[in-house]
Amino acid sequence: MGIEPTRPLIEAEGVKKYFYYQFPGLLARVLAGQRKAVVHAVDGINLVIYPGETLGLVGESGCGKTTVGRVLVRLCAPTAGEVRYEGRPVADVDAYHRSAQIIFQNPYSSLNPRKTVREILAVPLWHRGVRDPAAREEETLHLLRRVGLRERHIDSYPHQFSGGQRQRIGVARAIAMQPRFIVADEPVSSLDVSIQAQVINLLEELQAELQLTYLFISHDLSVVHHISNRVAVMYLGQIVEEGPTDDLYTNPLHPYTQALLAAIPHVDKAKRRERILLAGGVPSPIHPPSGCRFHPRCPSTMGQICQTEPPPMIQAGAQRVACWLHLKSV
Amino acid sequence: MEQAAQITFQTWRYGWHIRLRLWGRNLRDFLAQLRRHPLPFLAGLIVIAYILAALLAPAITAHSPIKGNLRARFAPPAWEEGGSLTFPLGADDQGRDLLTRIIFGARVSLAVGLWSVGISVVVGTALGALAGYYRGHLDRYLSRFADLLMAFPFLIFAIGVMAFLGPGFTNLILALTFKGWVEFFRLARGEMMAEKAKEYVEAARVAGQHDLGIIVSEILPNITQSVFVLGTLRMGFFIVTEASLSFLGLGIQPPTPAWGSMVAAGRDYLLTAWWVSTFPGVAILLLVLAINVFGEGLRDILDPRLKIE
Amino acid sequence: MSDLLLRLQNLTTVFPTSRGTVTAVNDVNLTVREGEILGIVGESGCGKSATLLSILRLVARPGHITTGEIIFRDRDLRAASSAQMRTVRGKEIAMIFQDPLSTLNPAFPVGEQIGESLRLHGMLGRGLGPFAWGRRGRERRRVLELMAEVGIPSPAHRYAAYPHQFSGGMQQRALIAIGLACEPRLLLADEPTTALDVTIQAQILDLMRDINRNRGTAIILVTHDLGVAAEFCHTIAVMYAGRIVERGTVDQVICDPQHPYTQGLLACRPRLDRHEPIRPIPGEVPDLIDMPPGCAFHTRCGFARPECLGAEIPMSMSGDAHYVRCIRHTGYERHQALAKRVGLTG
Repeated sequence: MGIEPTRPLIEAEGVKKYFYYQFPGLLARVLAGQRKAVVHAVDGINLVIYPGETLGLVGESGCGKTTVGRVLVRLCAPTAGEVRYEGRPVADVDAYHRSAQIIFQNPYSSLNPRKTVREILAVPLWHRGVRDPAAREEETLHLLRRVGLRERHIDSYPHQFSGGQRQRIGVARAIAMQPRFIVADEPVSSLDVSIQAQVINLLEELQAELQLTYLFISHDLSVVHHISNRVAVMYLGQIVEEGPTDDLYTNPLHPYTQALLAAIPHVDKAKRRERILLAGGVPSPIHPPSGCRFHPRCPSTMGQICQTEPPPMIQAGAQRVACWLHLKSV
Repeated sequence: MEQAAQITFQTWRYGWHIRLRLWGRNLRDFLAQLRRHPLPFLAGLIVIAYILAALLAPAITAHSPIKGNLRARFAPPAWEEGGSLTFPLGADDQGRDLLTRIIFGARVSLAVGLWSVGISVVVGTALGALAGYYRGHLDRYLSRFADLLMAFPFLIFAIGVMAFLGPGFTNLILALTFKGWVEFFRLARGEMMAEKAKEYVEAARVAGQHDLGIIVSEILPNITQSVFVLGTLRMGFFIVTEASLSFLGLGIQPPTPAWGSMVAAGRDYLLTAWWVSTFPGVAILLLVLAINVFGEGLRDILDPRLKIE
Repeated sequence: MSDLLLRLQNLTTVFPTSRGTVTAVNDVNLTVREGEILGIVGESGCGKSATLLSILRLVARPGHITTGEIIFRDRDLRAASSAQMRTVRGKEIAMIFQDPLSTLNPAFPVGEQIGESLRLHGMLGRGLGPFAWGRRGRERRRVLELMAEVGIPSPAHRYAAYPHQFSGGMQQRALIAIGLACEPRLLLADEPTTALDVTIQAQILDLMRDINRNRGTAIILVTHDLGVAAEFCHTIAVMYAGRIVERGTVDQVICDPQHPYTQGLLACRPRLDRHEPIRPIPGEVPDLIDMPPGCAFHTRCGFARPECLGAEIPMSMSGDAHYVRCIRHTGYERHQALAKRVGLTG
């Protein structure tokens, strides 16, 4: 899409995030045979995001994409691995938050119901350094105008807004810090279709105007296709395929990506693909399958090697894919 | 912490007229809602009447609540034969006007109620908020301690504490608060855990807020409503407990008028001078009932609005 | 042509609130034939769920149906008594909801819940007490059959499992099993796949298509996803602010949309073959309280004009069984359009 690979803005190397879940009672612990259950939410991913681009992160529920977003914004520290900003590891999380922000999915719980818009936006503005109240009011009004809200909304409470307007407030809060990188965690999934389009357009305008870099997390493949330059597909805590958007969508290499794309319901009959039905459901991230995590459901599994050895990331043209099927094509 | 305080103070100072308008709007909405629930509205008026009476006690009473006129011993209430308007509700065994004593007793009961509820709320909410936010060992030990306290029935526990400390106003507050904070602890802890999971907390952290700032300026405002409602409901209970303790002689000591001890004092004369026990009892009943009805009405008014919002 | 199974005639349901009256379902006319799949498409608040609830008369008080007829197999359900409605619900018309986790009772095993429908409608033979011997066995067998039919693997093991032990897709299958237990003629599905992943959604839709084909069950599918409706339904009705604004076969509505809202909905989805800017529908859904007569969409419509407000706009025909509620298709305008299409100048 015309973005030259200059120095990357955000890098994630070998990032893992495990959550430790303690069994509630002695009996449960004995039955499970272990003290704690480990949820392998993110199990070793490598990502690179270049300045000015939008990387789409897709996957179904439980694949860990939300956790990846939070780790990249350092809302939680990774269990292992490193997150680098402009080449340097993130040491001071507060300073990092001047450059990296996040937009949340749920417009209802992501705004404090007891605060007015003015008060909600005051927090990031204050931390950006806008201490003078008059200047802050000026900035707040400017932000409201920028995201398409009326100035008179400044003293309203979140419950007085619709879902789409609340998301706009969330966007305003994210850009209040004047960041360079924004993680958009399913920002339009909770909205009506006609409002989704409005918010997507807003995000695109802001990207062009403020030179933003996005990590766009979503389960909606059509939206991701529209807004992303590159797309990474996650399954059960790992990235299974990554590549430029058009390449990935026209020629998906990993069987999971193929099944995902085939499942999209299309308005246009010509676009509909042959259904690939996957057996079973997503396994639990507490006990992921051995070897390639997708092998129990894979329609093209090659047997022994898929069950025992986790596949490496193989470069195939501009795409990367973690699948033994493509070892030969290298 | 100073960041949160600074932001709040600055916003407050700058936009005070806006805040006043918002508060005014909220108050107006609340009063409009209240008018639609006649029973709680009436109950609220009764509570206000009690508070006013307690505040203006010296001004509205003609007699002394402590010094009695032995010649007026057991004067009957005004409408009984032998009664007069000098003692509208009658006089007790020491010739003290019952109405005056009841009004002064309101001071005691309301003071005890407000102090004990107030301290319980502050201590319980603070500890609950911290336990719910930080979890870990703090939460574990506090919760176990709270569970331990909950194992004792309230009155027995309070009697024990009073027996140990001795009677008096401060000790009474202490006894009530010792166990009273637990409910608010539980409520605040639960609400804190629920709110902490919401994304606006994460958003505040990404915007640069630190823990204490988040607790105070982000989450606490969302908890105060339920805490307030619970406090209102529990106040009636605390007042009844105080009356019970005074009845048993463990609370406020005579000659300070306290409804419980007034009821106790009239126990021997129930068949002859029934008014000595009855009217203080009615005073307790009316106040506690009004507080409960008002508290429940408050909960009904605030709850559905919470859900809609 | 198959028989008419359900006909909604001028159905109107209102919800009185403290701020005014919300007309959730406003003069809705729909027909469903035997074995037909009708899709009701619309965004949140348009009244599609309320329409389904009205069919089964499950509208929560103080909401109520004010006018209209619900003719199911030549019976007006509005005139039916509560007892008669109870025999209809679950047995002749079944309903499945959006969130299976809140619809399934977490305290009972799934097998029992599926069997409950069978028990309630006496599908397992009569008899109480000592005369009910064998009924438990019959129930279990029938439930296992149903679970296999909806694709729940190892039904014998899953019979005694609790809902929280099932995955989302599995739970939805269990709900469908409950719905199908008494072999209804009509299945009402209120956004059954919205909460599911896209691969599971595909499986559930395939399952429902099989049910429609094999059992001949008619389905009314409520969804906000035009893609799902396009792939799955035979006919589509588009709702906006309580009214049906367009209705027709799936080819008519998808390939030749006449109402500006339908056109807008189709245009605001990102296309998977080209990168072009998406044209959102400007504005927001209006407040449904005490709506003025006229077209509810006119605040967001590119073709709006003064005549759109003021009087109710009727449904007009725009083709064979293709209906549109738009002023551009009534009277003079329509004649113009038709004339242009036929080739005469206008």
